[in-house]
Formats: sequence, structure tokens, C-alpha cells
Amino acid sequence: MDIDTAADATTNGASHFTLDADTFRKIHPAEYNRRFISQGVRADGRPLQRFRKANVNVGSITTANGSSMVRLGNTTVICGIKAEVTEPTPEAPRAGFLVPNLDLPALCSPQFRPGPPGELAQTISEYINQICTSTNLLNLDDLCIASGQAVWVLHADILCLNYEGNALDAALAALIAALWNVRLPKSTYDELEGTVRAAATNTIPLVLNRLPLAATFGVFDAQHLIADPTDQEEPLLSSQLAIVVDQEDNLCGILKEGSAMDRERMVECIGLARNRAQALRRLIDEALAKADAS
Amino acid sequence: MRPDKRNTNDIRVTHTALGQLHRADGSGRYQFGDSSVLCGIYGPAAIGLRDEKLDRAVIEVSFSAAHGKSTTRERLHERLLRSTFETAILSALHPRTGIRITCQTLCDDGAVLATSINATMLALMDAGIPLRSVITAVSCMVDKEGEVFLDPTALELKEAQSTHTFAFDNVSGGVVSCESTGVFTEEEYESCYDICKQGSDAIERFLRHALQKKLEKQSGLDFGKS
Amino acid sequence: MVRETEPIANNERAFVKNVILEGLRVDNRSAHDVRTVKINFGSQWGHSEVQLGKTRVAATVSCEMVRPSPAQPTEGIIQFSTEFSPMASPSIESGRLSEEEVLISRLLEKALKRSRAIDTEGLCIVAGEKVWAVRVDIRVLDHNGNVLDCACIAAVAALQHFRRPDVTVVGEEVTIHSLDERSPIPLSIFHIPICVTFAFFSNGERQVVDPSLLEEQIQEGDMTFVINIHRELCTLSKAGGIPIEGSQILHCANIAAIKAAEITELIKAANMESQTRKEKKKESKRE
Repeated sequence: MDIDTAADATTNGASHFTLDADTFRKIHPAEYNRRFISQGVRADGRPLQRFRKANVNVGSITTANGSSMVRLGNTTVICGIKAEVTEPTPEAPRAGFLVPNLDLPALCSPQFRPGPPGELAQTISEYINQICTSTNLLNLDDLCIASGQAVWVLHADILCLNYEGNALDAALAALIAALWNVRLPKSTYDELEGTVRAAATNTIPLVLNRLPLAATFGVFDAQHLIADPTDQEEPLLSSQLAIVVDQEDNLCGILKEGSAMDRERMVECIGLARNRAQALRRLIDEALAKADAS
Repeated sequence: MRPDKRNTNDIRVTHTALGQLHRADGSGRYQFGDSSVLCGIYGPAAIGLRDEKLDRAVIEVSFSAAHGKSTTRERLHERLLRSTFETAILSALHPRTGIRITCQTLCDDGAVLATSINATMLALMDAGIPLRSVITAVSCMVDKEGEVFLDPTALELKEAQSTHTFAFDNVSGGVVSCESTGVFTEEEYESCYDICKQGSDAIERFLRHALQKKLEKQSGLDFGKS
Repeated sequence: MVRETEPIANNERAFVKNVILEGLRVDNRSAHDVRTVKINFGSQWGHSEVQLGKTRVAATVSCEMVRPSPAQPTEGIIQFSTEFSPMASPSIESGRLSEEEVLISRLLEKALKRSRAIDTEGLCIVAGEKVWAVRVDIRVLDHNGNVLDCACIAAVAALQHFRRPDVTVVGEEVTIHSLDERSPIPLSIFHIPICVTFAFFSNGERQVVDPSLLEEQIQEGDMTFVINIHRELCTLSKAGGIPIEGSQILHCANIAAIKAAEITELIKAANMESQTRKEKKKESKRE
């Protein structure tokens, strides 16, 4: 589609020239998006408060103890969980570890540079870690093999393959789906040798106390509330709000940044987040059922 | 009754100090009881060509915990601090410059994020950087019985079911930043919102008083009671 | 930020040098005056904040239980880490370890660890299994010259102020008692090494104690003595700069011993004051 640039709107009767939509988007992304959003539709065709289509797949990485792939629109993340034996800390001799880590490599979007993890990846990893610990997602004592000697450490590596915005929602969904999919081998600790013997097959599932899932919102031009922002929209938002909800509709975390937001709007978002989390949960359930059947 | 004999909606004894650092362009210290954060500000000053923005000042934040190696927790604090103050600072007035905010936790007894937001606010006022609004922050927690406690200490936080930090802006009265973790209901969230709003209004008066005292001392004038 | 340390005008440089040649200093001190030392302790154990004139350093001591190194199974671990906070000076960039930071950490390590100032064997809980690892985090908050001496005072003060939780050992089982449960235990410190830095001017003819930032930038060489109240020299550091005669070193060492004694007294007094304040607070709580 060709857009006639608003030469008449910005400059009075200056030379009239046309740009194609793609160039317009690149040189003036704020104005480009504003024209859509003021009409109640987003640049990718969604209504303002519709989330992108989600897609969940589990168990595709056979070498991992648990894995999943989640797509939100074109944002694609995979999560692989690898269990390793490690020594517990002296303070908590029975507690294992869950180490979630999000990687946003340079291959998933030109906005990320190669090298050590950037701020976005580090902060999302940290927030996911906070959700896991503060909501008591796993009983870490379940990961004990022999008290004070050996426990499981679950390395949950979440890797983004294609970044089209909203990494938190996708990463958390991928982590939860992968944790459901985890099967640990039966293992015993040999006192004499000081080693752990694990069975050849992975059979024991994890017990998850809750299923927190995130929904992210943004405010465009201080008035339009949009759900599930894309990477094009993210830098233009005046504020962002992520809400994490579990299966019993309890809140498990709220992260709000940017300009001021009133209470009514936050309450509105909580309602929308509940619906979204429910929908994502159903998708994860379906994917798990499918994986079990095959 | 709380261990330190406060009511549930009391904040701890608050201390403020402005301009303690000699080299920084502005500095502020904020204390909630034993939690203490020092903030220093440089700028608006020239920054590297690669970093500068043509239409506004770039805000850089670094936050450092009281002890130990730096972790991703500090990065999340930095991100929240930066996004909080990007909305408060009139950065369009200083294009192609940088404003560097550094927060150093001196003592951690809970509510460090709120303490650092308040310390940064003091430092920004001390540095004379043009602001859109005054932002003040306070933390609260909900215990297992569902009771809400304002400004919890590290000891109290061990019993927390959920913890919340809210930063409010004094012009619109809305939430600028919020970090909530743990498990909580919508009703609990709303009562946390209310109790923190009241707390942050009290803190705004503290900050105003601190600045007024400093200016009176500087100018020798009496600004009266506001 | 690109702001480098501001260059000093030739006139100013010459002025500072001439003033020192006349036995004076630009900040109205005499050659062997140390700037005013202010020591504050935090309300929690092991927190100190020290001002040396306009230089300001905070130190925090923390501890955790770890497995000892196999080479020294009965010794606790003491670690020093120094960080120049970006608020200390506009030229400091965060996240990059500078040479000066490493230098300060190393010198403090030499001064406090190698001189056996702190009893590391007392930090052992179960030999070969569990020991305390004590960590001293030094944060430079305001850089106005002679950060090393200030950092040393802060570290020593914080170590003296620090209390670790008490433990009970039954066989291999170790219980850590919280601070309320049992009164915490101070570190056993055998002696208190204090850093005293000299800056040399006009080919080593003149020396000043505790150089300010301006003097530091103009100095021709410097030397640091680490010395305790018993006039025992723990570490001597002279890294480069102009050559100094042996007799001058001895002269400086004598001055350093006097300064160290003065500073030790200040730290002791500040520590006493903070203890009495803590006890008063406790009493008022009981009431």
C-alpha cells in the first residue's frame, strides 16, 4: 500500500511527494504508528488490545530433560532445561537450584549486539528469577538427592530465535511449559564413592506449585492502551506494564515502567491479563497432552 | 504490633541530606531507618558521539548494592530507576548531553529500590536539573495473613507473601513505576496501592522540606511554611 | 562521559609547587598535616563511612560460610574488593576495573592479611569443611585525593566494627545463630595497620603528608607506609616516581608512625562512641 505522506498536514502546500509505507515506517516510526493507532488498529492489523497468536510446542529437544518452543506472533523462543548434579550450599543442604537465563543473541534481531548479554536480557532473566523464587514455583527441596551432598540444578536456558517484541511473555511461557515437560532420572547417592548414580531413563516429573504467565501492555501517546507490543512499538511507548497471573487468578508479579498510569487503567489491564494467561495456559496444556500422547 | 513498634501504615524514621559530595554536580542521601542510599549526579554534560541523542539528554544509571559482586538484580534496579527518571527529567531541554545517575547502597535493611528512587530525586533537586514532577517511592509487603505493612525492614520481609514498591508522581498522582513480586490478590494489590500512595505523599513533604532547608541555608532567606 | 580529569593550568601548577617549596600548602595545611578525619558507623554491624577532608569512602564487611581451600583447610578467607563508584569523579566509568582499584585492593590485602593483623584461624568452623569467608567491600564515593589512606581507615574501622553470627558445631552439623538469638562475635584483630601516604616535590626535597587531588596530580613521586601503633612497619610501597634517599625514608617513617598513632586513636574513639550509642538504643527498645 502506498501512503501519501502528509505533506499537507505538516508543511503548508510544500512540494508534494509520496513515500511507500515501508520507507515512511523507517524514517518516522512514531508518526507511522500514530496514524494506525488513532484509528483503533495497529500497524500489524490487530485491534489495540488483542494479543498476537500464540503457539506452544513441548519436548522437541530430546537431549534436554525438558524443553519447549513458544511463538507469540513472530517472536520465537525455545527453552531447554538441563539437569545436573551439584553440591548444595551449607545454609540450605536440601535445596536444589533453578537457574533461568534468557539469551537474546544478535541473530534474533538487529537491535541486539553480539557479546555479553545486554540490559534487556539480563533484566528479564532477573525478573523471571524473582517470579520463580517469590511465588515458590518449585519446592526446591524436591531437587534433593542426598542432603548436604548432592542436589539437582536445573539450568533453564531460554533462547530467542526471532525477536519481534515482548520477550518477557514468551520467555516465561516457554519456561513454564518446559518445566512441566521436565523428567528427571531416578537417582541414588553412593556414600562410599561419593558419586551419584542416575537411571538411564528420565521418569520423574516436577511438581509445580503454580503456573504464572505474563501479559505485557503498553501505552501509546499517553492514552491508547495496547496489548502485547511488537519490537516496532516498544521504543515508542510512554509506559509499559507487565502483569503475571497464575492458574487461580492470583497475581504473581507486576512490573510497571514509564510515565504515570492511573489506577483504573491498571485494574483494566489485570482483567485482560487474566484472560490472556488463561488462553496461554490452555495452549500449554494442549501441547503437553499432545507430547504425552505421542 | 511490629518489631520496631510502628503501626502498619508508618514509614521508618527518615533522614535526608543534600550536597554531601564535593565532586558530583548534585548529590542526595536518603535513609529509611537503617536502609541508606547515596546518589550522585553528573550532568548535563558532553558524552561520546556514539551515545548522544539529537533531541534529548541521555540518562545513564548505575546502581550498586551494599556488598558483594554485581548481579542481574542491580541491572533490573538500574532499568527501573532509569525508566522512572526518564519520565521526570525534562531531557528535551538538554539535547546531545548525558546525565549520569549513580546510586550506591550503603546499608540494606529492606526497601532499597524505594530508598534509591528517593535518594535520586533529592540528588536531581540538588543538581538543579529541570524536572516535570517530583517522584517519590515507598515499599510495602503483605504477610501470610493478608495484612499490609508499609516500609518493611529486612527482618519483616522474611515473612512476606508479596512485596510491592510503588513510585508515584506528584502532578498526575499516578503510578510511575511499580515492582511487585510474590503471590497476591487484586484486593491486596489495591490496598497496597492506597497505603503506598499515602506513604509517598508523606515522603514528598519530607523531600520538599529538605530542599527548602537547604535553599534557606544557601540564600539566608526564610521561605516560611509551605 | 567523556569528561577527563580536568587539566591543570601551568600557572596553577607552578603556584602549588612554589607554595610547597615555602613550606606551605594551598589548602592551608602545613606539610605534615593530615586532613580532618571523620568516621561514621552504620547502624548495622560492619558498615563504616570515612571522610578524609573531602575524600569519602564507605566500607562494608560481610561474611558467609564456605568450604576452605584445600591448601589451607583451617584458615578462614578474607577478601578485599575496591570499587570507584562513578559518583566519585566524572572521569570514572562504571563496570570497568581500573588499575587504581586493583592497586588499593592489593595493598590493603598486603597490609591487613600478610601482616597477620586479622586472625584467620579463628574463622575456621569445621576444619577442611566450613570456614567463614569475610569480604570487605570498599566503595569510593568522592575522590579528592589520597583515596588509599581513606580506604584503609574505612576498611580497618569496618573490620573492627563488624560482628559475625555465633555458631554451634555438633559433629558435622553447624547451626548459625541469628543476631537476636545470641550476641554476635567480633573478629579478633591483633594490630591495626594504618596507611600514611607522602607526596614528593622538587626532586624529593619536599614532602607532604596526605596529598589532595591537586597535589596528587602535580607530585613527582609518592610513597605509602603501612604502620601500626607499635611503630611496626607492615608494608612499604613506592611504585615509581623520583628516587628518594634512604635517610628521607626513615624520616618519613617516623612521621608516619606519629600519624598512624593519631588515626588509630580516632578510630578507637569513634568505635567506642558507636558502641555506647548502640547500647543506649537497645536499652530504649527494652523500655
